[in-house]
Amino acid sequence: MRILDLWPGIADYRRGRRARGVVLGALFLVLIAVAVWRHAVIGETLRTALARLVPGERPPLGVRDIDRIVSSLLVSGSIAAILASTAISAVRAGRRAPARRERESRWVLFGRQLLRNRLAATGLALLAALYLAAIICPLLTPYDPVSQGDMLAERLLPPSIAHPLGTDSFSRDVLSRILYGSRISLLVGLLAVGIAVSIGVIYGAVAGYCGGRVDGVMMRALDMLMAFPSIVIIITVMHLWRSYSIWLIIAVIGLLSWMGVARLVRGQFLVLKQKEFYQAAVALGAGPLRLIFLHLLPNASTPIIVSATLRVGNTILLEAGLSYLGLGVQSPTPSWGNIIYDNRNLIFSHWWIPFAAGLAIVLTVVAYNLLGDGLRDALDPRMQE
Amino acid sequence: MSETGRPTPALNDSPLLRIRGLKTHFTGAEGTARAVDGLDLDVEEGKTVGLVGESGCGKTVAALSVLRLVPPPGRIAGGEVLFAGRDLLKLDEKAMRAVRGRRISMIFQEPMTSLNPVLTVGSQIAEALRLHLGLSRREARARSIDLLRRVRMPAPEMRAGEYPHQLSGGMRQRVMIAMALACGPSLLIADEPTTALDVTVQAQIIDLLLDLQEELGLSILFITHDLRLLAEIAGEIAVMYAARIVERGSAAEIIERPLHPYTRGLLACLPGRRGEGSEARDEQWAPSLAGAVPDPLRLPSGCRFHPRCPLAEERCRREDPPLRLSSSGRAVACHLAELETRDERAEEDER
Amino acid sequence: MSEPATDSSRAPFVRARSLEVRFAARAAIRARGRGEVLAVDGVSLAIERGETLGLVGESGCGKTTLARVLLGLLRPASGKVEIDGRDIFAMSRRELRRWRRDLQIVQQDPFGSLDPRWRIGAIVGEGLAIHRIGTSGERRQRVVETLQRCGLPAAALDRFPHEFSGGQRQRIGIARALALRPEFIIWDEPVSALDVSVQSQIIQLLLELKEEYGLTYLLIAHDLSIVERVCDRVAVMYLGRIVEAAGAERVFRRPVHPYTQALLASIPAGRPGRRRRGAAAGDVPSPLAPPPGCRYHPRCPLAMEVCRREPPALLDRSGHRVACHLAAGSPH
Repeated sequence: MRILDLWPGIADYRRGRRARGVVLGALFLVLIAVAVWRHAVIGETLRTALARLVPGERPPLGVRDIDRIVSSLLVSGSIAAILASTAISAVRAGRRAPARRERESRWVLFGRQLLRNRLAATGLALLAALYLAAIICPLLTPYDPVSQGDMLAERLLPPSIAHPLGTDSFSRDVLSRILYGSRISLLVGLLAVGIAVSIGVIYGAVAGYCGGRVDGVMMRALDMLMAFPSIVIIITVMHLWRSYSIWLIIAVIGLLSWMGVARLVRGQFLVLKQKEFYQAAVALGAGPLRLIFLHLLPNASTPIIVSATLRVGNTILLEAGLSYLGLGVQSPTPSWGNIIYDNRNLIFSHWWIPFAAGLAIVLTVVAYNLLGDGLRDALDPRMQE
Repeated sequence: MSETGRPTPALNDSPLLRIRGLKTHFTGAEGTARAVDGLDLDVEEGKTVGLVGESGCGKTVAALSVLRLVPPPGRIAGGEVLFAGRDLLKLDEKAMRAVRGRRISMIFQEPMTSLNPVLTVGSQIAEALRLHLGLSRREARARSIDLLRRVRMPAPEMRAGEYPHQLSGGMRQRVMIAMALACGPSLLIADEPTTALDVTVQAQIIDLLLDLQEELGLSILFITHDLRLLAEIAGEIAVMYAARIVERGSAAEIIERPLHPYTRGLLACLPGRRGEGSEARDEQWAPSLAGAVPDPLRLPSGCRFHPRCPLAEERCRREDPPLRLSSSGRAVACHLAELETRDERAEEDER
Repeated sequence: MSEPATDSSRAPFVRARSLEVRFAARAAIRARGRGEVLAVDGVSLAIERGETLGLVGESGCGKTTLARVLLGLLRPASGKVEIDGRDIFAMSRRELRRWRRDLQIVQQDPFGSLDPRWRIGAIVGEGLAIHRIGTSGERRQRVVETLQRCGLPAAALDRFPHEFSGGQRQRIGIARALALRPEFIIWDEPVSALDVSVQSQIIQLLLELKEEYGLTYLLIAHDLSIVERVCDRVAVMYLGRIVEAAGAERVFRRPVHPYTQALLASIPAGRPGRRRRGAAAGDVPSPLAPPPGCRYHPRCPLAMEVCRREPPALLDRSGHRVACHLAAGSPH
């Protein structure tokens, strides 16, 4: 074993598990870089956190403090975990030849196929970076995204080393706001689509499996729901609740966008029910649960997953649009949409502020679309070797 | 039929279509698949030549290569395709378009996918006529109804105004044949034209093709996996295996005295008719062709049939047998078939 | 060959009595024809234990619909299906599911009939898992045995359907049907999608399995030469009705119905220069608007006035059933 093999991932790469090696190695590199860069913050945070374990005086913790502790623990914990797993597999590899598994799980095959597709791998890496940044943003920037600084000295500064994207009209660091804002946007995308897919799959599966009259009634109901203009409903709900909570926004977007998923699932089921393999399963005596969960859903999963990833991009755009209209997340809490909204007057003088937030939206949506296209190929077992 | 008035072909030495050493390769990420690899085939004027082989042996690619319609990443890598004396592989794309449809036509297995679903069949035939022959709209329409009548479409005036989905499978294949004949081609390539049809309709389409051949003096290259069918309709049969011709000869000779072990295997797979020689039905109708057609990415060494051949010897594993010609025009590519060719020659001498 | 000895005290293994199946036509089609399609129109047939019945006919004649009724997958509008003397449509859902173990089907399309997301082991073992037969180890053992019996290596177990050729997939489909050790297998065009060389291998396997496990078969095919090789008795269907049924020997040697004669004439004989002509003219009419009288009359070269008016009855003459006015008139 060479000394280089001690770097996590390199041994995997040499052993032929290239994708795993590259991902692990790159992740480790990024984490180490962050740890070295912010060692002072991490060290201090962890010391304070440790000190709290000792009985005695405990100053109350703010949200920002917890945030910082979680980020520091995540970075240092991940580094330790990766090192430990590398050490264990190195010891194992020394002890005996690695046992080649004859039967690889479908998910391993799928992962390999996904990483072999360059565009999908790019999308996946981009998303991983975005979500990692969203989680550990207290370590990436020393500034608070909400509290206002010196209104005279630090207002609307141009980009510099201290403020890579300058400051806004309330003297806040724009990069910090965009980083913290990513939490909102990414969370809204994931959760709202999660809600939409869950409802849509259940509704579509019932309609598609039952068919006939049940299907007819359910689909007409769906058509009626689809006919409501969602923006109007969102505005009404927001007004009725008198609330602009992020959770309410997620719930409303989720509840308004499941109809497309339901249609998709129902259509897939109707097609799959005509397939000979489905009829073979019926002939073997399979019951409804088996038919739905083992035959229909797995075969319908490809379009569902693909459309879900594509939908995440749309939902992020929708949230940004709502925030831009002043209906979404309210200032001073940052979101990509309201950063653009708040700084719309500066589009000519300080163009980089709305531009940076817009670029973040575009990057995320593109990353999700790349991943969606890649998933479409990778989830087809015929593409796997 | 032809407007150019072709000179009568010289005896024997210049057939209408002569393919020599044709190679069509598909290059992909996993290597080069040799779908057609050194194909030799002749089609004489006014004759029907049957090309037979299992699926995956390269029959269809060979046919598409003649028309230079091989889909990418396929590429014609060598050889020549002489049609009425001209090498089609050397023509420019414009000249080739004039050959396609006009001099050489092709019909396919699944007529539904070959017809445009949103146009009436009459207008589709008329389209071909106007494109190739420059007829006026009215002339083309009259001609297309005439063609439908010629392919014995019932009520042609009415059917010309219908859409492909309104026709039965047999009628669609008749439309395809009418389109193929629209410009009076001299060669018709028929790729499994009856496989997707019901048995009684299959017989009708075959009868139609044979009648049209007689009326129009067409040459037909008939591609199929059904040796029984070829036995009845083809003058000459070429047996294709793993990208190449392994045996060639008159239909009677191929059926009655097959030389190549592959041809024998194919024949042995055919169920014999009851009451026509065979006694009990369970009696040794054992499959004589084990295994499957080799992957064109990994063709076997030596004779490509050796892994499935019951007679394979050491030599078959090493040396690729050339396609040898006998005096009677028979050809076979097998190291072990030599003896039989000699017998045949002896028989000829005796006569 | 002789008709299977019928013990009058015992009912045949599978018996269908005057089955009728109707499908509602979709609105777009309905505009032109009647509101429904009579896919199976008064079909009765019996299959003795250990026998192979061939069901022959062109596409759209109702063969596959009939097969689905016999499997209990489709409820007929009227008529009965009795298996071993018991009416399967009078059974409870549970009983019927229990019976499904004994009735299996091998489908036509080796590409569509296997779930592309399942491994071969799971596909072949699915029936065993559904009916909770044995422990998972025993099931695996049974699957391996069955696969090997069908000519596939045990290594196939962990692979996916797309890794196999058409012939191999058909063997997988056969193994799936066989894993439950059924008594009755319906073969729905088992070889029509395969190459000739593979066809003969599959037919060989079909014959061996029958011998080995004492199976009863219903073979649906349009290729008469295969039916001739394999079947004891043959029933010919045309547009939802049986037009001729008898021992295979009789049907092939002395076909009575003009449609059967046309079908036989359509088989290429495989003799150079001996093309038979005069197969049936025209196409199969749409089942939405079947012709009145004898359904074959528009294509029949011998059609008489009475054929256009009255549907002929399926008359039994010493075990040879024919539905044709011509045959009814003349002593056969």
